[in-house]
Amino acid sequence: MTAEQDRLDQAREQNAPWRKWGPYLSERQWGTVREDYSEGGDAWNYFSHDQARSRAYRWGEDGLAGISDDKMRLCFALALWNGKDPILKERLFGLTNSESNHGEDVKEYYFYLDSTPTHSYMKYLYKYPQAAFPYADLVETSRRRSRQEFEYELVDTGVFNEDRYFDVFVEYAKESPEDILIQITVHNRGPEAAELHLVPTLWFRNQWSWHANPDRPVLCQLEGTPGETVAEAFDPQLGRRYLYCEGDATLLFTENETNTQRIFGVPNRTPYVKDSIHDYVVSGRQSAVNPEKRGTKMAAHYRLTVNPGQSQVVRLRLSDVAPAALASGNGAGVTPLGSRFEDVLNARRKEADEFYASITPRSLTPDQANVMRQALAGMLWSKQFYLYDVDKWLEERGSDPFKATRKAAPRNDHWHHMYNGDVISMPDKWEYPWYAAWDLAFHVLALTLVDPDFGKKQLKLMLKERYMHPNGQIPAYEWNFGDVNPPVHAWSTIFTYRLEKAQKGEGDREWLKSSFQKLLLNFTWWVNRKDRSGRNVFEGGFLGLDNIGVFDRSAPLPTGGCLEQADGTAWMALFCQNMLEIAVELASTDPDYADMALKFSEHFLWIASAMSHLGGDTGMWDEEDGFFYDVLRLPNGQAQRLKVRSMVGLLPLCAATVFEGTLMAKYPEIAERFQAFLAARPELCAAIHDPRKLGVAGRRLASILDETKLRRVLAKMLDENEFLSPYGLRSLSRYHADHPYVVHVGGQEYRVSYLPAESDTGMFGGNSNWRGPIWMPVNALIIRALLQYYGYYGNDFTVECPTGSGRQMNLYQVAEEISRRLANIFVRDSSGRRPVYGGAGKFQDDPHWRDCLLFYEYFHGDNGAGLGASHQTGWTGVVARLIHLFASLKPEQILQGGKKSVAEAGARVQGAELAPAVNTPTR
Amino acid sequence: MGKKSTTTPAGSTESEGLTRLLRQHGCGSIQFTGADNTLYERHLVSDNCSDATKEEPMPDPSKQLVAVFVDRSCRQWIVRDPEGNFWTLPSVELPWEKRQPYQPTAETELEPVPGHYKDMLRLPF
Repeated sequence: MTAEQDRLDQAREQNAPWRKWGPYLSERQWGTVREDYSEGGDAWNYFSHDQARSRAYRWGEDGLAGISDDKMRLCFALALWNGKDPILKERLFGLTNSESNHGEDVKEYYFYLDSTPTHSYMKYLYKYPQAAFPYADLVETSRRRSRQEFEYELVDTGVFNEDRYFDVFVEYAKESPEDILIQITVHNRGPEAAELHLVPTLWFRNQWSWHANPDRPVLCQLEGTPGETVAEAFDPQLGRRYLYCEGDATLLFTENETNTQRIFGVPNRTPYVKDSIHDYVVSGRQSAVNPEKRGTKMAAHYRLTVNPGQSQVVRLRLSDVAPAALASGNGAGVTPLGSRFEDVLNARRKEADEFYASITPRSLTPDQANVMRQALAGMLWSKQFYLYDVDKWLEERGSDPFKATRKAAPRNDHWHHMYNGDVISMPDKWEYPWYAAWDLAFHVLALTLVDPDFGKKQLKLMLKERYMHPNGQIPAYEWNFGDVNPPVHAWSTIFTYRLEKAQKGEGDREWLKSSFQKLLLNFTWWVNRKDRSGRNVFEGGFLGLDNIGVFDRSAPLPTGGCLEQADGTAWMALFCQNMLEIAVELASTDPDYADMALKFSEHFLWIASAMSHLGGDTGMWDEEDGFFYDVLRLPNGQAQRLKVRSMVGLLPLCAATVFEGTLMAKYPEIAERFQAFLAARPELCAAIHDPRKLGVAGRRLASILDETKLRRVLAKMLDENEFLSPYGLRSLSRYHADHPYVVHVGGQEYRVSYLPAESDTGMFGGNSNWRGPIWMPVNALIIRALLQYYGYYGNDFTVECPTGSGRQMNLYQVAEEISRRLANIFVRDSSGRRPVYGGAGKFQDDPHWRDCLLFYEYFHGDNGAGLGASHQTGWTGVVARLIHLFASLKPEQILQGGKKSVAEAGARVQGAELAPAVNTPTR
Repeated sequence: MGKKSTTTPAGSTESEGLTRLLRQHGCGSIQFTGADNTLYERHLVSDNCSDATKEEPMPDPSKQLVAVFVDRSCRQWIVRDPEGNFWTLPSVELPWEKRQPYQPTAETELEPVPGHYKDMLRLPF
């Protein structure tokens, strides 16, 4: 067992607070819904980046390479000044939704290089230009660009020319859960010596201003010892902490309070405010900081001159051990930043290597292993403390839901039951610093590779009464909790359960039972709210696939009428299957769940059948094309399929789950009732896969698609002129490059063309595009389905892959092929290029960049270049799970063991022997 | 939707009264103001909760709430208390204790300040 695994066990079994401190700061708190108190809900502009240095946040904090405790009381982050910028670099800069030609976008380069699941070791890289940061150029040039042009990135400004920049590495290492070593290493990559102001900052999140009877924390300087300077932090709930700073650093103190003079024009009550340290460092205003050396925000000010090609190191330590205790406990002469610091740091680095060696399949190349490790590092760094008391927020806006005199709130009016105050895995802490329900289900898939306990808690969190609406809806995201996300929570739940069962020999049945109860509420919400006609055909709006439809699927249709959604109905079919899986598992020991299993068996068949039968000859299945489409039902009763070949039509393929038949064997009366149900309704199975047919090893398959339909859909899906790209499955068929789908309504043209890169409209904010690019989560679901089909059909079911190639593959091989293509987005190809970086020369060629990986939100449909949010290890981190799976699994295991073999492969941990050395960037 | 109809026939007879009753209860066209509370207005009209002959503007709830503003011209916090009175507050430790009456004029530009600043200003409500 590795030291890190031991820490995880201690955290679970002994409540050791190893996860108490972690990277829980946001990368952006400004411009969020929580901080928005505007009348019209203009969150992006209400609290701007320019205000952020001066205005105290209400609900969170942000910082560069930052950490905090798990309630974000005390925060630590980096601040920098190159002597030329107009402002201290305390947070990442980016463009708002309206400033950029492709929606909001961070304009910085930072990399999550490493993290263990307990954050016992973490590493972050920030690339800081030595020239003035081109804030105005980024805003002005982006404003001039159209949607048909690329985004203007930081590297395009020329600010990194001649390599005139600093590589600032921040490493954290925990000696104990409450004792954190911090090492900052500054490399000058440029041709000349350059000065850098290094300003590591410690502050308390402002809670005292926003409560009637506040407990105010305090930071103050203590007397240090030779070689270090010390500050004490005291919070009534957190207790005392100490920041030991190397050398005779100048400590600067102020208050984390709004500069009301700058923000509101009202004189400050105290001269020491949030931007005082910025004022001191950048403007040289000595009087800006408190000469009494106390406050609620402080920083250590170092002025470094770094020679070209050289580096300098600064060490700090954030600890609960007081100076006196350190000296007496460890013997005379021991300092917090002395030789033991190096020993602990090296030990944690080594333990991180050992941990990742234990979970990395030995068959992976060093580059593949690096991709896997950085994907997981990104997942772990993207945790954030998320605080949002919706009732309080509404009240503060004058929209108290229980007062007769209230203003309407621009959003989340009906979610006042919610109190969120937890560490949550975020999709991307700059672009999406808020949780999204269906993203989270995919995050857990990757996170459970390193921290199954955390993954389980994340799933459970969304079902708690502080999150889930009393009516059963799972919150979508803070922009509109009432929006509808695809129901993938049940799938992630049963996957996580099986993983734990494979690892430990038994699963957490109590967790599964309680999840089932809450998922039942969510299922019923869907059935009662999204099946307009009561005929098992579902709507849902855009359902996470933004601009994929010819019409905005979340707005009233220009034709009138309604849309019967192939994806919405398929999601519900899959939801039924997942609930059936859970019920079957629970029924293995508890007969009460056998009835629920029967319920979901039948309900699945109702839904699956509806996809083909409904409306006579206008169901979702198009026999001519061999594909599924949304159906437009017009007010005059007519119906029409909207023939856009997209992921919407592939999702019915995902609703496939294989069963071993254990339920029917254990409960013969359930089997009889099910057979009677089927015998009385032969039409139900006429157009779908017959669940009575046995497959390999006597398995049964719940599937919308029978074998004929499956082959026809696969023919398109695996056609490189349609969905199959060199880097995975496209969200829209390439067929629409030459054959756009066009509809004319009311004199207006609505068109869907194949768009492999960014969106060319502002629909849904314009920062996302489902009309061509490759999206990891839906690819993962298709891979899952293919493995299910393989477990049923076995080796005898083969298809041409790619279509027209003459090469036959079984469905395991097809799944593996898609996974390989997805991984190839990140792995260096035969010419040494990483497709994810497209034509960005610096990222491809420069040794200080080329092995630092960014996990984008989606990828170019033809060349795999990264698009959208640049740190979305949220669901793109699933690539780590895919790499691991196919290096750990063999097809015969599925044929022999069924789907539990997938969980067993997923749970596999390597032996103690170290895997080949991983190629990580220079320390 | 247009504004509510204000027509009431002069010198009403029994038949005219019946006509009016039918119109009042939605048996003919009734105009509403077209706000979010349109359906609620129908109830007000139909159930004699309000007089259909009078134009009554909807109360603006925002004018009855405790609120904090800033008047940049005088660089002061402005507070509207639960009774709807306005006060200026200085930038001192306990500003409410040092409040002064304030009367906004038609030209006054009051910029709303988020509600959580009430606690920062130690307002007693």
